[in-house]
Amino acid sequence: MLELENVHKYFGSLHVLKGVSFEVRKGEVVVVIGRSGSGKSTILRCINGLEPIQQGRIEVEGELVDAHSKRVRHIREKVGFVFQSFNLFPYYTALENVSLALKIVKKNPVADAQRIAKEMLGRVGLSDKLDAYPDRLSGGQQQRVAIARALAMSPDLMLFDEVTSALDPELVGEVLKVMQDLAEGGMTMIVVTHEMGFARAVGDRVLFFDEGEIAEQGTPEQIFNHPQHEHLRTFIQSIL
Amino acid sequence: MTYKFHWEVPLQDLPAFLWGALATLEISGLAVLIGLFIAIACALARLSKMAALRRIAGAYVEVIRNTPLLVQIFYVYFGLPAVGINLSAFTVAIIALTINCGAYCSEIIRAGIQSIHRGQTEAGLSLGMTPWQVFRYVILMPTLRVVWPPLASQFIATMLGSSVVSQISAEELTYAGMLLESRTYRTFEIFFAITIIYFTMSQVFSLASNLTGRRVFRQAWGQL
Amino acid sequence: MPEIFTAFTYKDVLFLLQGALVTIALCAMAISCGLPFALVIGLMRTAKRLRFLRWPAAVYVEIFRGTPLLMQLFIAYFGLSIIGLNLPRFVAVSMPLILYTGAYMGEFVRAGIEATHRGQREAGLSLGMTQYQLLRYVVAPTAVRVMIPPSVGFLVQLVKGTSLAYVVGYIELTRAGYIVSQSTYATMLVFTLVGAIYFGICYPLSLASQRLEFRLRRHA
Repeated sequence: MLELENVHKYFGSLHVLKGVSFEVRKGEVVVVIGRSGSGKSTILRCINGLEPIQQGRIEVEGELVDAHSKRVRHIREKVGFVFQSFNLFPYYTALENVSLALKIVKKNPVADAQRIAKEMLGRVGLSDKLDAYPDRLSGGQQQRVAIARALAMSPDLMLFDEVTSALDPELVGEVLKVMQDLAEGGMTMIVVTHEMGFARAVGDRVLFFDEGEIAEQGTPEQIFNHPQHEHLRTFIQSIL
Repeated sequence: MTYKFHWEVPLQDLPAFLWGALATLEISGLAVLIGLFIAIACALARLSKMAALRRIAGAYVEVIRNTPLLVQIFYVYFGLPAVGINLSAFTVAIIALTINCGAYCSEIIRAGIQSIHRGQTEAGLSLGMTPWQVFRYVILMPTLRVVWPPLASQFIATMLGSSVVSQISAEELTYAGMLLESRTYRTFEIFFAITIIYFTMSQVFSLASNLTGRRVFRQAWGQL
Repeated sequence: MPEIFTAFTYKDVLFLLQGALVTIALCAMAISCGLPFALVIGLMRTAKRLRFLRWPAAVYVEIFRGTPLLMQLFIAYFGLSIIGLNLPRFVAVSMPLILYTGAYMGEFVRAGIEATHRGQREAGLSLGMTQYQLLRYVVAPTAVRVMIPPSVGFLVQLVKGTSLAYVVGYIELTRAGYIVSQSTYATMLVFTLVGAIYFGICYPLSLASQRLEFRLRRHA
């Protein structure tokens, strides 16, 4: 479903991704961990073309991701992205936030778009907040709306970029629950996170990013209980 | 286009223009300097606890900000002789510009003072500082840093606005242009040249204020 | 010429009010033509694909904000007649005002566009929107709301700026006041009245601008 091969990326002269390669199968939940600056958020942004790569290949369901071409929009319709800072549109209600892209990108008729949006907001547990503006919602609620917004596009792949890092601790749980339900429903997901409990419970595979490369990968059991790489060991110790 | 441009006309009279520019700077400079004193007094008045003081200062600021400079100049120009005070056009210009500048600057200073969090004053007092020490170390420097860019802009705005005093025959740059124009009728070339001089002055001051500000107020320049 | 001073009558007040109408008409003209122009300038200043458009717009804004409005009026007014265009005086006076409005409001447009956080633009892109859709549905709502308070404040500046048309002899409120003051005994009264009319136009606008700015800060 998703294939990365020998991806290199530079920010100016800074080499942030050094030959990253991995595959993701349909229905898999891949968790990405690592220090800040290790490249884990960057790789996610390269997959949906928000950042261009200088070398290597990224393919989503056989289609090449080229951040500079106009066809990258088709990729984005298939790949949902949830941001750390939610990025809801401030002057639209929750319902409008979720239905906007359905109307203008997928060209759904208004009635269908609203129906789907209501359904998605119901799935994330916010049926009572349809007409609320983002500034009236808590962080956790805003993030759930953001997830609903991405889900409404019926993506084949969902990318989560540290989506709970900006939340107060008591709000983290509600978002993780939504993500867990999604995973159990068979969604293909790549989740960059610091939440190790989530990684253990929901992840099929864990990738440890270190200085722009995948230093180690394996099942949660392997990574957390039998870390091999020296940096991974110190990382696990500092987290737990 | 049958018009022939006579660019040598303004060039020949360049010294007159440069004296005019100097006069413009003198007028605007005085207006800002004296205006600042008025501005500080006015800002403090607007922030004071006495309602009467607030209202008077507030009225002054709002009247000046909501009427054109030209009308204000005429008011002073015709008003002073009416009460028996006869001054040169130059002096009248300075007075009117000072009154004008004082109002705008007072708003800038008021905003600057208010932008300092009350929490910092409380922190200073809690550390045992006297109110004077709080003012000097906690309030003064940050306020100056905040008001420096808008005050510099106000100086430039006043300088550009001073071109209007030419209408009461005060001797500055625009008036110099008008004099030459009445002799040679080369309106376009003359005022084009004068505009370039104004533009240069405003750019120079903009740059100078930026650089000075950066050096004097080193931390977090422009960010507040 | 024998100086015939007349008393200040209601006819003079009417004359002043006519001047006020001209002032308002000039502003309306400046805004209606200046606003689309400002949109173009603002878009040029924030162009991403066609970067070379940025600096001409920047230079234009610098020039119109760094020179006196009086000079802009002179040059435009006399420059037009030089080119041989004999436009009606209303248009000739409006043109520099339009250019002036375009420069200042162009900056507001730019600030409005830049007020949209990068994150929201990325969210829109990630949902598959085109650049145009992004501009229309994501950038525009925020941009318009950010633009309104300073624009209303600028209106005040514009009204005051029309007083400069006095200098080319055009009869708007200030020139009307001057004419009346030269032919009656009541100079101070006339100018007080003129000032009061300007105040009456500008003060409500200033209040509105402050109120709008306050409301905007609370919402986002």
